[in-house]
Amino acid sequence: MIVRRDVDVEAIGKMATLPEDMSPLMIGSQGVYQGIRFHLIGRMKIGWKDGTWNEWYMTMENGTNGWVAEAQGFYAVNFEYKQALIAETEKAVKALGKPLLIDTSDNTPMYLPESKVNKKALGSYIFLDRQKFKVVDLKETVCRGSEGELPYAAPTGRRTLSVDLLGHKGEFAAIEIDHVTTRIYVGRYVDWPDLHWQQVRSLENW
Amino acid sequence: MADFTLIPKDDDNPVPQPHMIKKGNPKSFSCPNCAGTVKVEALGLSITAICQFCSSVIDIANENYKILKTAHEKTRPTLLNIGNKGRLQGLMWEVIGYMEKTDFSEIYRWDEYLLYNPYHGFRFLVQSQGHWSIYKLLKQSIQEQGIALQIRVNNQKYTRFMNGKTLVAYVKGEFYWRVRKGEETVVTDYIAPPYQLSITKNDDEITAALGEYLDAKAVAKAFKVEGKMPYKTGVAPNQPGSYTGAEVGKLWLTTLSAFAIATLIQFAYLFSADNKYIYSNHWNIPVQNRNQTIATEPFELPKRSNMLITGSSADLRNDWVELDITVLNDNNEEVRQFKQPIEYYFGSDYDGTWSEGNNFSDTLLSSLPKGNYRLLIDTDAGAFQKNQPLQLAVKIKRDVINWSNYGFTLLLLLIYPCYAGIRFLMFEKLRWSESDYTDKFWS
Repeated sequence: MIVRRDVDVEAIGKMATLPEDMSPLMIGSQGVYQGIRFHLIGRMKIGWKDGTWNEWYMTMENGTNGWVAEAQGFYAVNFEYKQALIAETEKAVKALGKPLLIDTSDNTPMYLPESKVNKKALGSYIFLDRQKFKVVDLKETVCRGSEGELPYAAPTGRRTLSVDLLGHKGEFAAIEIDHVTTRIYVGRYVDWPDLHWQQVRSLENW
Repeated sequence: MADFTLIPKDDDNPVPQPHMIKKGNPKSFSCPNCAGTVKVEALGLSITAICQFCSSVIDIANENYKILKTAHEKTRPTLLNIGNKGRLQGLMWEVIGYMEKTDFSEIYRWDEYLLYNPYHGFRFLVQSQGHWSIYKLLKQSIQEQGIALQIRVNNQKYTRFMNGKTLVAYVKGEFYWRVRKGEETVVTDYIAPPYQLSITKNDDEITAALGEYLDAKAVAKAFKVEGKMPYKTGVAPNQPGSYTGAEVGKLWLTTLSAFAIATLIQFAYLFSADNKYIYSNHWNIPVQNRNQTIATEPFELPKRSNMLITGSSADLRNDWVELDITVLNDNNEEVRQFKQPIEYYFGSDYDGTWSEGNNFSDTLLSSLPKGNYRLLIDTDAGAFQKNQPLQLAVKIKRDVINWSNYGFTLLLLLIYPCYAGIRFLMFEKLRWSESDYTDKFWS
């Protein structure tokens, strides 16, 4: 497996750099999605002006890799969508905006400027993977730290424009725009019991 | 700067091993305002915390906790306390936040508790006028309906109930969003009892929450509420009634089917009933024989059937007769005894002519076994008191068509669906009396 690993070099060996949370997940946690077992192998902690969330990188036993997004008590299993976009979608994605230039020195950005985010795109619809998605959130984000294996470099301070999309049956999509790449993810929201988790982290009083 | 590396599965790999992973712990910090201890349960999720000692609102979205609003107020007591845990709908929840909300008139006030479970996320436990519901946010894009009165989500049809602005009047605890007193939202409620779909709009976000009505006792038990639960008034928008519209509809359909079956049976009976006289006689009873029992000659009931006994007095005018009849089965000595009064009065007054009763009366004996029978008749009559003889005739018909059983069956069948229908309508009337769209229900 080819994995980009120019992660936060200083962080290697001292895992406590990630902001603490009460996530029941950890690297090594296992779940089952659509009948296939998967393992969490990496994590990015993403921050924005109103908090943080976890993007867990996972590998499935059928060889595909994907993500489990864990935000505000919701879980979404999703996979990078690599097929060509239809012209209309391509145009809509381009119109979403751009993040600020990467600035890895800024480790604790509090409030991120949103000047380049096209707030007008909120509520608009984008067709992806033959499904209709509604743009429900656009925000400037910053990587607050990462651990384990990830498919690309996610140094602390990496900035992206992150767009959340929602289908009307619980379909999930996200568009992540950094200064060079636009990545699209498609998947669906799931409830905790749906993934049959094992090897979860122990939590005080729970 | 592209620097792709093949990651070997070796010790160099910064993958934390399970033993290295710290147990998840709630965190405490000192309030920057009053130095009291502020606990954060939903660590990593909560971004606003309210100090339980001085009520200051603290931004905890990142590590340098900042006071958003200084306060020096004591925390208000609430029915459920921050930190209370209880099991609802099969899951354990911890109360981590509380909001008091009001409508714009500030007449209606209700409680919203934020519930947390690190595995299952968040729920909202809402108490309004003694009624409780639990809500979960839906991660689904809901088609905006404009003024549509009905909306379909996940194959459930919801009817629009109310639309209005809400205000946050008071907060305590911790929240995963920037909660603030005075925050306004526009909420549209749709109902499909026991469910309620609340669509909330603020600034640039539309969220839908799906609520389910809870039994207040279940809430009290789950959170071990010691004090009194809020008094229940009215009918909540999503309160399930004893009967749903579908149930009442089904009930009536069943009743109509039963009507049809009863009617079919009655018709079958109509065509198969023999309806034959098996005995007929008449007597002229002189006054001196008034105390003698009349015994009829035996007559035969050829098969098990009912028996209609008609007593009549042809010349009865503004007078009465009372027959005391014993039906005697000669084969098994079984008897049936009954009184059969015959009364016939008529006359005229200012309103015109009137009459009451008749010069005959019937008694239907149901399901008598086949065999030979006799009647024993004791008589008393107004005529005897006037020293007049009594004209009496008795006719007996077997296997007669009984309409009263049929009518009685229909009546019995109607009782329950009528009761259910009325209960349903009264309940729905109460429910919709609180709605912005009351006309809708009654049109």
